[in-house]
Amino acid sequence: MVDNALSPHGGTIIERLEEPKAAKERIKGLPSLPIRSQLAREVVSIGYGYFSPLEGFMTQADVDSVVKKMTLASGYVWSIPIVFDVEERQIQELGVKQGDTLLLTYEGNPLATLDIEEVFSYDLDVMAENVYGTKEDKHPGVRRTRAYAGRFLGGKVTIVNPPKINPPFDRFFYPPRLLREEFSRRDWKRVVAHQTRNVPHTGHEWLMKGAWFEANADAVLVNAVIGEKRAGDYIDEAIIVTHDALRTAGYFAENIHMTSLLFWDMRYAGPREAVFHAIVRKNLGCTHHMFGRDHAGVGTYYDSYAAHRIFEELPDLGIYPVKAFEWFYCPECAGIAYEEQCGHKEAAQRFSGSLIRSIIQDGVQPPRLLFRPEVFELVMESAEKYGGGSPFVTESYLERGDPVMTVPAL
Amino acid sequence: MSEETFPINIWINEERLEALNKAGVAGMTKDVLAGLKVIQVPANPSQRDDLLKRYPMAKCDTATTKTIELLPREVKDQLLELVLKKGSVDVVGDLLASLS
Repeated sequence: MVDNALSPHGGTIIERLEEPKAAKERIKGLPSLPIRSQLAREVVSIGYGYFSPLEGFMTQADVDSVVKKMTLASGYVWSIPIVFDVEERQIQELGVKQGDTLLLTYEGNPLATLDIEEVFSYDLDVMAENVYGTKEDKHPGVRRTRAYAGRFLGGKVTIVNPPKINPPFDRFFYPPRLLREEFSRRDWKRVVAHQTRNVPHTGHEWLMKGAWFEANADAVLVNAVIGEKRAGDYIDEAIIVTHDALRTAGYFAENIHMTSLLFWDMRYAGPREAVFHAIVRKNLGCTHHMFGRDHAGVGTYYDSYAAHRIFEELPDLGIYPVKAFEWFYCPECAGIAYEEQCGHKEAAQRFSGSLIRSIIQDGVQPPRLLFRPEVFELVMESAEKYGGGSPFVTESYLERGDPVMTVPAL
Repeated sequence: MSEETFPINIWINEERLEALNKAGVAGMTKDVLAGLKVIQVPANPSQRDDLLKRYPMAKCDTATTKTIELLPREVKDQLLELVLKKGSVDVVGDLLASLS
């Protein structure tokens, strides 16, 4: 019987980072395999301990247990398979077998090693249906699952060449050990996590402040997900600098707010992804996690509050879910209000991140009661500086945008 | 029972407000969201589906506002031109006809 309440998950932050001198020796003569950006991000997240207790990519027993029981084979709760997929052709070309070590390269340079414990296959339909609750290709997580190459390599990952996190992201890169040290330095014992992939509007700000109250927290940790982007999303640079601006512009006091990032490609797995987010943020040192409506959902695949209810079915995860409900802009109160608290429901003016994006896209500055002017200025500044004039992801941003991380030559 | 419609929000900046004033139809705007001005152009379900298919980056915000958002700015400009020309917000059919 394992204790899921341990913080970090499993009781220890798993850091798998080789010393630079030893790294050069370690990789000599290893067959190398170039990896795509999603896998590179997951290698970084594993190596720095965000995914503790994982030490590497899952073996079949872990995958099967996660898919069917939402636990690792060891019994610790885990909701999303973390897998390394590879073409059968590549296995043949490299002559890969159990017991071998591969050098994983990213953009031509060594990033990490993978000690192969198992080469296996898994039924992708079973994986998709259990994790996402659907087999429809319209679901982006199902599409991602079906796009996996036919085979998987399970085994431990060790970073041999730490990536360089590029500006403006570098000052927000706090891996779990470092972030826990920072919390300790600031004497933050109760920290509520806010998951984001959006530029903040005042609805977000209100929810974060509400969660801070509800958790009786010392601070709010904004943890921005940095991963694959789609055309029309806000550019990552705008997301991270605007969240930080809520503090620097005084909407949050200096000593109760911090912005950080997580390398992760959203799966849109709704309640299962909420569990994953909770575990990762616990590893970062958070004690609470805010979940709004439709957390990590997509379309109409999940009930609006499925991500709230799933925690009632699980053992104590050592991080407390703070549940946020409906809110709106109330012209009578002249501010954001909670539906349960405000008596002017007939006057409610509802808005969303998409609606704010739509306003900005039309060349209009949203009113300050919906969108802080400092945030708007930074969105437009980021557009010029990083987005080729647009604060939203365009085809040219996807092709030529500056990378969030680069791996230097070793 | 009347058919459900999904408004397209055309947000009004100074430039657009000037055009509306010139055409004498500035009264068609509504004040929403902390005083922000908007013209709402209704789309029926089949027009909504057609627009979302043509412009995959657009989305119908079914959860919160029931509006069609994130149409490209040039499409909004086209819609506004049609509103100014017709003096009516019933212009999505005209837009789609001009595109096919």
